[in-house]
Amino acid sequence: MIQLRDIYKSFGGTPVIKGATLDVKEGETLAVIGRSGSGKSVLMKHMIGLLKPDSGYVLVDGVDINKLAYHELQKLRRNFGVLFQGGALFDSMNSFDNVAFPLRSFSKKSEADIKRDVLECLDMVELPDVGPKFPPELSGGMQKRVALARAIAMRPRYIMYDEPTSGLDPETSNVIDQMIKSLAVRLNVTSVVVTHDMHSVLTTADRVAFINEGRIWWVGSIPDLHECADDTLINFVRANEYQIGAGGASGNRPHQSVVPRQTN
Amino acid sequence: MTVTLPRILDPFVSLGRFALLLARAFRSVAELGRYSKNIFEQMVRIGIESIPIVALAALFSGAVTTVQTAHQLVSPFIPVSIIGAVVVPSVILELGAVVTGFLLAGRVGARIAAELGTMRVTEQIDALEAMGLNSVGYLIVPRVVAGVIMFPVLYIVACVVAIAGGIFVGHYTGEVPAGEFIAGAREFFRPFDAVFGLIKSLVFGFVITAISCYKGYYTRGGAEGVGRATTEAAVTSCVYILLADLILASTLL
Amino acid sequence: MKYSNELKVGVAIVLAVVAFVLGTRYFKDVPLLTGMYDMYTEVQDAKGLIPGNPVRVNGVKVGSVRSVEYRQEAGLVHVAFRINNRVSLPEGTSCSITGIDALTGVRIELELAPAGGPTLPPGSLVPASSGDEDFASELVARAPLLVDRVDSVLFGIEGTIGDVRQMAFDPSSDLRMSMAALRQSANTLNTLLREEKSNISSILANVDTLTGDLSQLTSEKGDSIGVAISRLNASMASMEQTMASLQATTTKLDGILQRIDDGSGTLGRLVNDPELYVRLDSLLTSVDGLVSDFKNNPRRYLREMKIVDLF
Repeated sequence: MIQLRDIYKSFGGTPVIKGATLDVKEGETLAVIGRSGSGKSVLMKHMIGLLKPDSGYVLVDGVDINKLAYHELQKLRRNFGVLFQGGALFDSMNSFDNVAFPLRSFSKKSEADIKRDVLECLDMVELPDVGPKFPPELSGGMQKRVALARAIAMRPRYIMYDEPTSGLDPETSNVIDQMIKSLAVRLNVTSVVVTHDMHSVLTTADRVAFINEGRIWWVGSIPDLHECADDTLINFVRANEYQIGAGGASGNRPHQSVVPRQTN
Repeated sequence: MTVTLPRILDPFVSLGRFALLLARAFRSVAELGRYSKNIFEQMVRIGIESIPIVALAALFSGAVTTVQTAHQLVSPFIPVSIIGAVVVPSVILELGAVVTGFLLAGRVGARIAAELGTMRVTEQIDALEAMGLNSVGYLIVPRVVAGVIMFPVLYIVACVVAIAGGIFVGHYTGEVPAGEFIAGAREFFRPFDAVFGLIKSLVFGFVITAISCYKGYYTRGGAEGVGRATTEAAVTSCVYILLADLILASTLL
Repeated sequence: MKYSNELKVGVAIVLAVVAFVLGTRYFKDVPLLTGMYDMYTEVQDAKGLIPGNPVRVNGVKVGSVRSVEYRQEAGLVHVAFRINNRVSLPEGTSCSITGIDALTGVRIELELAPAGGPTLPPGSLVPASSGDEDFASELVARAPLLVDRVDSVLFGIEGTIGDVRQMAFDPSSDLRMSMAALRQSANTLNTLLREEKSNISSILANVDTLTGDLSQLTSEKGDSIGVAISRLNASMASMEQTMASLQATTTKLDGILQRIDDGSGTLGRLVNDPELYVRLDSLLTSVDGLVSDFKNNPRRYLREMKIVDLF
């Protein structure tokens, strides 16, 4: 359970988050949506203490993470797996070592056990053979999947996805979305998906939080989203819908159910 | 609630951030054992791989110092052995450490800043932190420790090569026979000079790696930011090497 | 074969430490590997001795100074030094501090007692020799005076050499003229003698005939002429002697002049060799320059000799 309470955050005098309160419930997949630059990623980084709020507090399992000593925070962070926007794989290591890195850093497992775990993780992201390859040799989608394998290596209780499908072609995006969905079930984790891609939202999320103007503008389940009458949210979803509908070859995703308003 | 500070305070803000980063690094030294693999890797990158270029630069600076000292010696009253007595202390006191420092500000400083800067803008540093690792302990401490340990090693390499280069060039250009050179050097040799040079190189190693880590660690703004951090790391390191040189000379000598 | 990072770093550090230690020892002039032992001495005046200065025996470096400190309670300077294990000091060995600071370097000179006796144990006192002040320190003491004198001497030399040069080169100078005159008269005399040789012979022949006539006359005229003849004879003999010695002198003079002509001997060179003039001239010019420079900036030379430290 992650609780954000009245978070304010500004960078260089420009306020980005202006009073955000949000709960992430145990076991659910919450999609945080909003325009680019609306502060979605910033909000996500508050959840693991990578950013400290100017005011307000963040409770993870009831503990205010900004009051923890650094080493306690470190310990707490091991419950999180984070998939960063560009994957953030370590360039200096090959894929195998990237996935093995958290295991080698924190577990006292033998190298053989670590190898087994790593291969299992790579299997889960359906890339069993990329171990020896270095990040620059992988495509963007593969990098994200290896990064995902790294994020789940420590069997976290929470997984954060920062724009998991941005910059990917629709087919690869689908693969990632399916993975997010299946991992949530398989590993029984609580997930936060930061995205502006409505397809991802519909595929993966149980609930949706819409950020606008630095505030949590709307929160609700997917069915609620379909019923929603808020103009700003409708415009956001519509813009997405339009993009997808007009995208043709490049934009439209195959085998993908249509956007909320049309289905309902 | 944010207070926008006047720009004139920026240097103090930077210094404060630098100091806090160092403080964090010092606190992380306890975790050193955990990153020992990293330290050795950085030692090889910063130290061992710099040996050829340091040796080359030292060879020429030693040779040039000898030739120029010989050129300046016109009075027939002064024995040529004075050349050795001038060249060896200059190399040990100043050239060995400063030439190495400048060279490595470019080579090592820029590299560290570029590495850390790239890691910062591609969120690799965030990824480390998010995993529950201490990014300062993992990235900065090994580099600074490697710098502090390996710079004296490079300094010794530089001194040996520079003096050898000086003797060689002096001997084969006929300016000063090797024996005279060495005799002159011995006459005026003070062991403290060598210790002082070692201290200097150690300080320079710290200055270069710490500044470059700072610049890299706080990089902002994508590829351009990495470029800026790299340049700033090299330039700032050079400036602070000179400053440190002056401070050390005026306090310890 | 791939070496591990640890190995590379370890080897580099070990090599560096070895290089540092050996390099320092090398320039400290401590033997790289053999051992040394400590000795000390007490002197009135350290004469600028500093740690690292050499310790010598018969001019050979056998060790170096470790520390020099003034001990007030004794009023003496305590000088500790180390000596190579290969050299042992017999009892009775003494030492002295010699050399000029920074000009030749100060050093400790050991005067070993004859070998055979017991050797001084390490860490013991080597007495400073009470012997007379060495040359160098005396030189230092007298340096200012000496410099003045050297100055005046150089000044005098400069004047003299200038005069000589002027005389040698000025065609109207006395030296030049007298040499020319000498040469001329010698030549004249030579020719004269050569030319008049036959005349002199004929004169002598005439005298001979005359004598013969006279002797005839004498036999005719009896003893008065006989007396006159014998007198004349005597005077003739003495004249002959004079002639002979004149001849010898002429020959000698001839030889001398010949040698001058050939260019052997200083005078000959001076007379015949123009290059010598040139060389002498350039030498004098440099001496001139040096001396005027010395006079203008005596401090420069003195500073370089570090004698200025003494003032």
